[in-house]
Amino acid sequence: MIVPFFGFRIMVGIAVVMLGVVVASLWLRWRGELFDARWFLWCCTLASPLGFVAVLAGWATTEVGRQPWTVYGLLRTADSVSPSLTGLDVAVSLAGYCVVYLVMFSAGLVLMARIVRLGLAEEATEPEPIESGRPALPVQALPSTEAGQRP
Amino acid sequence: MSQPIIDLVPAWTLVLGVGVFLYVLLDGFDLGVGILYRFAPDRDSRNLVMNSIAPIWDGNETWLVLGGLALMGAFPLAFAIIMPAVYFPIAIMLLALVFRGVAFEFRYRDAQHRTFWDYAFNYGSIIGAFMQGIVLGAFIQGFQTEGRHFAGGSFDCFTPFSLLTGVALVFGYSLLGAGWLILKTEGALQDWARALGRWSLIGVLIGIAAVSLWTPFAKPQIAERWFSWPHIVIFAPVPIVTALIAYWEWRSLNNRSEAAPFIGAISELRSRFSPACAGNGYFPSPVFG
Repeated sequence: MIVPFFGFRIMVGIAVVMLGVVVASLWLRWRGELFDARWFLWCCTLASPLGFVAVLAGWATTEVGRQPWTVYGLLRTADSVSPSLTGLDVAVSLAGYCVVYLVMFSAGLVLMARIVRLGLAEEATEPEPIESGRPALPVQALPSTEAGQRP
Repeated sequence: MSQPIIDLVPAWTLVLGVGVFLYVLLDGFDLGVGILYRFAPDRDSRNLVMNSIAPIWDGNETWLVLGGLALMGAFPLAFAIIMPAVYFPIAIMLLALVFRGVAFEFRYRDAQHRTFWDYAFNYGSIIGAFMQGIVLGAFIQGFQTEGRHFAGGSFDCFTPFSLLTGVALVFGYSLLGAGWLILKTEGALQDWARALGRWSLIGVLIGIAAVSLWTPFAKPQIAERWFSWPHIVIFAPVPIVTALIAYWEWRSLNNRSEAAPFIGAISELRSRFSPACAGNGYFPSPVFG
């Protein structure tokens, strides 16, 4: 019961921290210092991965906490396994998902890091016409991407 | 109060049928555009081709979620039999769709690896469509059941027949995709889409002929349904209508009409889809073993 216990408290604790950030931002905005308070901007940067942590903690709470039931009091996990599915089948498909997620997450992290390193556009650029329902990106286009080369 | 006011089985059958039909049409043309993507002559046309579906493809794909959830919620027994039976095609399809969906975003932001994301988009679309065709073929063949369980193996769904339906569906989606591109492009790119549409239509017709001839042999129950009185009268117009639509589709691919090829492609698939669902005798039980 240690996983649901801490998982739940981590999730709720993070929610309280997020609410604190929101309240602090409202206070700073009211004082007109929202974009100048360095300490607050640092807090936002540090808080950015917290949502992901909260999702994982909440997920662990439900999945571990419900054991040994799939539907509490009605269906046990042991009875809800498809009889035709072998352990090898599940291992192979799980490995497939792991490999795909590793590729996608690494690519996504590298790209996000690159966009952050480039920073915001120096000067306001001409507003691009909205093409194919998507407005222009709020961040500077990558230098290696030819200008105007939408996907 | 124990009797519900409306009978939910036909209602949910309708919801499921409409959901699957809309998915095949809407994500069909997106996947078709992805399949044809590899034949685009240069980067500018690739940009245009991908942009033609960029704002709508994810909405179209959501019909798949509706289909899956309606099957699970309304027909749990069918779900419990079908899902283990087509476990690998569904899993591979989902992984392929991950590559395809992410390619829309990453191709633009990751210029160094643009070729990689081009291939991810193309192969993701091809493999996703092919796996859906395998699911269709396995569904036509039926599943080996024991009591309330699927009793076959995880690889039983990969048969020569289901591989054929897989290839046929890739061509069907290509035809829809070509129709969409003719509607959305102009000039040289539209001529390119028309040429691909003609190739796709040839592939679709061969696929339909092969699947139609093979199905009665693959499934004696269907042969009985198709060729017994009075069904034979009801189903006799199906191949005739299919052939007429195919002729109209071929003509509209060759003249200057921009919307007709897409409508024709929809009708062509529709003429195959409705008898496949209603005529093959699945109602009211979605699975027969």
